[in-house]
Amino acid sequence: MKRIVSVSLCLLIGVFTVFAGGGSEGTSAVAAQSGPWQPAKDIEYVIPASPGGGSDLWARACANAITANKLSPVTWVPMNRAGGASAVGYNYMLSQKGNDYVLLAGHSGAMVSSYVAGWQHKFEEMVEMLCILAFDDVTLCTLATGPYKDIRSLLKAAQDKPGTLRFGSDQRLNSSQYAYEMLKKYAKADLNYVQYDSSGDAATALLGGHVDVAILNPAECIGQVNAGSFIPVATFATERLGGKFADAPTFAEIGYPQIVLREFRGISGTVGMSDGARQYYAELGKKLLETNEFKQYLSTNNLTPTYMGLGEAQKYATAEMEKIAALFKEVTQK
Amino acid sequence: MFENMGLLFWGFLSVFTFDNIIACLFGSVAGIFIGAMPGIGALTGVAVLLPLTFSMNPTTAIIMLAALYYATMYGGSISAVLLNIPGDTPAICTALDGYKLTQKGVPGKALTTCFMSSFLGGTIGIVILTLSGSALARVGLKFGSPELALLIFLAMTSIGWLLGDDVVSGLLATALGLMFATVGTDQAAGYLRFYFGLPNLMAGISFVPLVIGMFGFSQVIELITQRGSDERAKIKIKLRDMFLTWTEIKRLLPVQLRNGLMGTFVGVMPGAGGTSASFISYIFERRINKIGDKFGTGVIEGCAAPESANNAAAAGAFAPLLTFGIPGSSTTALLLGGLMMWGLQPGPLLFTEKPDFVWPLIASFYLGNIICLIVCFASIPLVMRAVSVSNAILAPVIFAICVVAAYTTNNSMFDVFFMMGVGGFSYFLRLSKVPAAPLLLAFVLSPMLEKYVRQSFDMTRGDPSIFIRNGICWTFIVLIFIFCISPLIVKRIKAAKKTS
Repeated sequence: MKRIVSVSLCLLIGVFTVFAGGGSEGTSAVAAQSGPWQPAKDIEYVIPASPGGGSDLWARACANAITANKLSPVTWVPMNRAGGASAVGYNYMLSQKGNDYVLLAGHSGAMVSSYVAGWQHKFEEMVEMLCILAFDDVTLCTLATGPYKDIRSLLKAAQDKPGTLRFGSDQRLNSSQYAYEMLKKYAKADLNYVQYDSSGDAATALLGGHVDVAILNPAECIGQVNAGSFIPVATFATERLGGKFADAPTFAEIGYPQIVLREFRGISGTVGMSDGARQYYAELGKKLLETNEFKQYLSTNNLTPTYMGLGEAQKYATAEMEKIAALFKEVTQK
Repeated sequence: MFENMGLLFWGFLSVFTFDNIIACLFGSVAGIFIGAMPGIGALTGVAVLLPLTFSMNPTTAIIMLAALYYATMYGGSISAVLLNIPGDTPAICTALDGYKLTQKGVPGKALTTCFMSSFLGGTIGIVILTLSGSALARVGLKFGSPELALLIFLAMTSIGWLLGDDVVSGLLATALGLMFATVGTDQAAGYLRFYFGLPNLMAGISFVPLVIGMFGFSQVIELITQRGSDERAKIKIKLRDMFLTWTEIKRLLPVQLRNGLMGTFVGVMPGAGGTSASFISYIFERRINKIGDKFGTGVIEGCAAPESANNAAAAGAFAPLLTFGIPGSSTTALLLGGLMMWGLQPGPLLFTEKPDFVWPLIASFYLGNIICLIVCFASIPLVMRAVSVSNAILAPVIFAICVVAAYTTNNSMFDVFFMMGVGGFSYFLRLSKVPAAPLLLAFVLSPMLEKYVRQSFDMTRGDPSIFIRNGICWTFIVLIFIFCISPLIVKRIKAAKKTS
């Protein structure tokens, strides 16, 4: 008797589990509203990465600032949907087409991957970038005790002895490889690309002297820069960064104006989201930038605030990706 | 060193505030729970609690989160021993022998061994961290990709010792592990391999659903297909059995000391955490222990080795974090983000500029470790009741736990179906007596080997001379040779003795 109960209970769980995946909420009919669109239920804020990464911190900082300042009448619930170098999160957005209550923490790195890493869809087929709120600038760092104290000596060494200097970086087919390919194409610097799991691992390798130069966001190297163990030798931004990074020249200053890369972050929505919701979220992004909590987050992580709203953000993102994809195409065709 | 002792003493004085002790207690108890729950581990636990700590004093906040981190290493063994579901990935090796001990009717003994080993391993790690943390972190930095590749290779030469009685099925399991590990984006050029067009497989097979399927779900199938009497209910559990005898303690002590040292060292290595530490120590212990060939059949040494190593690694991982501001594992990487949120600048200056942060933290490790030990021991009589529950109730409960655990890993139904598929598959492996250990070991270690080898070749554009670039490399190469040749020599000597 017990056996039968047990087996049937197991079967029941099995059946429930199978159907749990099949059912989807769909877009619930929103009650007729007067005035501008307002969210009527909690918002799922998808993080296409594991807890602890840059996108995770970003999404949680957004959600905290929104709650603390009551910018939204409903709660933003950060939800990690990691996997496939962000592909799982973006595909989830595709499956939620037209849903006004699902947003995604947008970062340019994943968009680059959607163009060049063999994804089935480009990012703009899966999400719409509703607003861009910050630039996450990229710098090159060398070891203070190493032979290369500035960008010119580093580039000269790479030009003179091609294929000997080691360039520590995160995954290929991402913005970091774009930076590497630009150095190769425009500055004729032939470095050895050494791929680590994350920029943090690349920084560790630089500290141990296993690579000669590493490509890092300011937040990833500020501790070492303050301690004097890393020298930021150049920035890929269009203007010099502030603080401890003020001595690092842009590539335009040393004669390579083509070498520019600015990673950006913002809020993305589903494709086919209603116009009212799109406008609401893009406006909310502007208000978010003005909160003290968010300002604090941006400054501790050395992000540069900016604002691009509805339409403009998507246009900028697509144009950037086209440019990056073109260079990758050139490289792979060789 | 004496200066460190002075600072530690001062750290103890400041750790004994009401807030800090409560934080340590809360972190420890929460960590034991989170560790015991399959599917969520230290990483998720710290990520969820991190936002709650932003308003706290940074010292109190990190005391809580650090306690949570090492307490999960304790908790993971509870479900591994009692239910054969590792609560967290570092507890996988513990399940191999721990659950066998439960089947033999001595779950209490297994749990006592685990907790005692966790405590000793953790203490060894903490003492080393106190005395020579920064020196150790400096040594860790010397390990670049070629050195790490050779270390993993050395560990993999011992895989033969896990194959079990039937070499062919052992090799089959190893090959399956290697095949599973190749799924997903390759580690060097970013190309997609064997992902069948599924975005969920683009980053490879996730480890937690795989483990839960192999251990938990395959067991559900076994429980409901078992014919005849309910064997588990017949096991008479006596509380007296939880105590180890003096001879057992003497047997365990050298194992715990060895693996505590080894675990600390692995924890300091860049990118390696509790999981790699427990795997590496399990195979090395199996190799050098006198009763190593009995590992996997239910011996207490098999629980002691991984448990002391993973706790030691959790302490060791703090050495590079505090000395250089670089993470030794993914959980400490998350703590690094926390440091910034609390307004501290992780980096080489932390020790000198913020001694009032670092030393109370280290002092709290001693305190937290004792709290964990007490809480765990107190829980043994309670959790042991799970063993006398009849199969009829246990099977659906474990099934439900498996489904929830697989889902929470990535919040995805794909993982649930994958977990069930793997469970069914490994049930058949179990029927055909193919061992699970080599599969998991190959799955964990071979991607690391691939990554480090390809990074090394990246550095030199394919010149293999990088693998003999320094003394560390040569040491490993010599060890690899000794490990491969020694069984032959031992065999020869034995044969010679017989003939003479």
